[in-house]
Amino acid sequence: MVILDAGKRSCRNASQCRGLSEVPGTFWIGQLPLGARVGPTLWRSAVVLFVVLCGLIPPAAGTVAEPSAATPPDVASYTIEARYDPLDHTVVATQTLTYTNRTDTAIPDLVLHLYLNAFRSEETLWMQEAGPEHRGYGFDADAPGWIRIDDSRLADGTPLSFLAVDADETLVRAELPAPVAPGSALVVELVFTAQLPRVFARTGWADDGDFVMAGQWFEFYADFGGYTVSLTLPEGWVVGTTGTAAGGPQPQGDGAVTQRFAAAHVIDFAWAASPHFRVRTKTVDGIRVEVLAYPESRAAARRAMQATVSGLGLYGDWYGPYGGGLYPELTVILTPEDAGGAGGMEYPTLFTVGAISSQFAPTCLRMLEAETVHELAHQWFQSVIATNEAEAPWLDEGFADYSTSRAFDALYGGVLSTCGGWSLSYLSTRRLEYVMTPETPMTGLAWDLGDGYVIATYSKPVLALTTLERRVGDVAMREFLGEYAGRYAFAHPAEADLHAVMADTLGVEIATWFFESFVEGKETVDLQVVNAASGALAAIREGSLCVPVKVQAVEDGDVVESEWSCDASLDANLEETSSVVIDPGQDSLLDLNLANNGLRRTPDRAAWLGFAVRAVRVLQMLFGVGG
Amino acid sequence: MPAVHGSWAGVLRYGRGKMVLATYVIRVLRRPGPWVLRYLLTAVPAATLGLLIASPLAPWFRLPLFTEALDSRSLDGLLEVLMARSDAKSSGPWLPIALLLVPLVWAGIRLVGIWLEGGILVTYALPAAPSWRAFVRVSTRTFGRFLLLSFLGVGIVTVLIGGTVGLALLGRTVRRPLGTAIAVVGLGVAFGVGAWVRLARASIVVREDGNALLALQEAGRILVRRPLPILALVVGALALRVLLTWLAGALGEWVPLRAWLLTLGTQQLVQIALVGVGLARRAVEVGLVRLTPRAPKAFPEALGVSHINTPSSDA
Repeated sequence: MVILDAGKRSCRNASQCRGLSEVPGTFWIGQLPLGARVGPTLWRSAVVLFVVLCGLIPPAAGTVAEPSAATPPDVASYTIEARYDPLDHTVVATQTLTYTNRTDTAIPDLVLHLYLNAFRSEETLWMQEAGPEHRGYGFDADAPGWIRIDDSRLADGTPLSFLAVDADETLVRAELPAPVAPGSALVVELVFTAQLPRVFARTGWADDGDFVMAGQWFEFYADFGGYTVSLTLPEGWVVGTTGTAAGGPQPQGDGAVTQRFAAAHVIDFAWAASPHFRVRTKTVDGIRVEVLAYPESRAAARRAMQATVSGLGLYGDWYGPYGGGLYPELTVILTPEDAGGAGGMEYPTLFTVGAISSQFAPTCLRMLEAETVHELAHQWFQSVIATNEAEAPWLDEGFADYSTSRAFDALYGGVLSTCGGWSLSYLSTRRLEYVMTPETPMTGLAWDLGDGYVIATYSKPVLALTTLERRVGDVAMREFLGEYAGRYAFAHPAEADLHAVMADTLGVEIATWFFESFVEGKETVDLQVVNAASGALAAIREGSLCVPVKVQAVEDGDVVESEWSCDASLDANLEETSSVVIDPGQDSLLDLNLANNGLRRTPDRAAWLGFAVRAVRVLQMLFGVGG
Repeated sequence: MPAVHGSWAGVLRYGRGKMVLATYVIRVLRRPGPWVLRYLLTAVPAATLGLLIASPLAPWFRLPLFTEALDSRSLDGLLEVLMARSDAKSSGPWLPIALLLVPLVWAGIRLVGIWLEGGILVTYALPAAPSWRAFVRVSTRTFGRFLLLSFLGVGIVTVLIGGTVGLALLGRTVRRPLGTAIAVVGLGVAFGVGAWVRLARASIVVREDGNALLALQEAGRILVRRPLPILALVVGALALRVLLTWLAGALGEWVPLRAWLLTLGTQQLVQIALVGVGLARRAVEVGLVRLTPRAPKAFPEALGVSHINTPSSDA
């Protein structure tokens, strides 16, 4: 998911969004029915599609929160043979879906998501809710997307008859001849045609058909499973996919070439292709990293590769090996200029980086690196630690963004930009967002968060987790993160599971404090140094958010430091102090106003003169222009 | 004519040996009046406005975060302070007034600078420094023509730079090397136009071209006849300005905020040097005009200064 993205929408309530999925005994491919009109909501299908487009589908009942095994059991596996026509931008494919019912409930019917049908026109429910614009890129009504099931039957040849569940046909349903018993497998043969749209909201074609990003291009259930995919593309096209190539290209004799790819223990399969792609590769600790980019994005590709390699090392150190040690390859796609809507998106073993931050980005601005290490973090906090992004979105984006911030600390001293000789930290950009709507709990269903989505899932979590890190220390934080990532690799942890790991590693008191103060709470705090009536300085705390901090006071030239806990007034005499600074290390990053955390009795005269002299110099230079 | 020694002077030596361009540079050093005037022209308004801008912000210097942000050049702290709107309000109306005054003062300085130009050029054109009265008289008489030339120059350069930047952006979208080439050529042409206009000014003073357009014609002829010295002058002056500007910026970064006296001293030295570079360029341009043959007209009687001066030993 692209960072700093304020365009996320959600449903208004749980019943509207989950609706049909709560029908007992119903087998849902995916779980949240896209576009199903269950209740009069305009948010509902948007959040569903959003979740799906994020590549994270909530797991089926009975598979949640099982601590990971060494080799995760497959739930949904696919064999797909697909042919892409770059002139019509269509995919014609046959698909074999093998679903293993790992729940304890027999499943009597089959429901498939046909997400591309949400791209059919501006009239679909999703388009009406999310709007025909995404990240500044508009939907081209003349180049829509859709998907159609041409044939479907069980392995024994029994045909399946699908009926649309919603008006947009983003969801179809078929009764099974016999329920799928717990522990049993269901094999379904499908033939489908997918029309890809001009790139919009992460999927489609661009560059006059010379680029294609195929995400959410088939019917899928995003639990862990294996994929064997044969892609037939025009000769000369370079393709990057989830998983790895299995065998060499096979010419078809008609100007097309077929190549087979395989991926194991992944929750989705995506691919991108273009005849213009140039491939840059590097092998790091046995992982083959490849960056696919247009020739003019060579510099950006180099930067993306460097950030990816650095990030792999850091995240591997913090969270365990990439892909739990099961993924041999990682593909980074740099989308071309007119395909920005496909950038900034994560899939298993593949992520995309938007052109908007690649070709024209100066090296002093590290947006490209930020986007890269953020999407890379999703290889852990989504692809492997597969939390439910609809029901606990902060567990996914929040941890990915916190990882981004940590990686920036390690790689660039936390600095996002040094342009103009002035530094701007990554955390500061998140603070700017947070202080706009600070009274937002992190927990909550995506469809309930509304406009607070970005704050709840990105901004506040990264600030809260960093505040936690500064309170417990880096060593303890790493122990906690490592334990969480290890315990729930290839599983679907929920907030309660995270709470338990936090309590185990950091202590019950810290876990309770973190969850009550940040995850569930919407309290705020503003620590201030003010002028008391007597003319002396005084420290006050506004708001009930609890973060213990230090206080530094300068008295007769000596620095006096004291602790200020949550539930007590500051036990320090500030009457004779010349300056006071609360929380000098900025341990409390959710403070509403850091500027008023410190105050001097009198202005810093030397600094003011230094500022004035610099202002004079700037004006002199300005007045000299043209002379 | 004194001998000019040293390698740099050798580079500047030009013509058939009768005149040496370095002589004109030396006049800049020996006749400090224009230097002082040009320096004060920007320094006094800048100091006044700088203090006007800084004064309302004095209360902000009670906030340690603001001071640290300035000292460490951190946008984080600045943004925090700017978000604390109550502090911003406390600066009162003077800050916006001062900021509004900046473009007005700039325009005023430009006009005064154009007015001073005639006096400055004649100072370097004559064998001896003119009197202040002559300085003012020439400045006044050339002001209209110089103003016209400035508008022409700015107009042409704006069109050229705007056009080339636009083409460059377009070129980068399609083919980056093409865009870069367009940008380089366009900027080169823009600097050429600047030199052309400045030579026309010098021609007005040195050769008493009464018509600005005729002066442009004459300057064009000089450009064609003396391309290499002019190129060296433009590039050399630009390089020095870039170097000095970089130096000033670097000093601003390296010197701690509170070392204001050191900052003031070094930056004003750089500023004085920058003014000197501009004046040296003008003096050499005057020399180039004088060195380029042309059917001479009465000089400089028409400007009313010839009877005031007598040749001095320095030039």
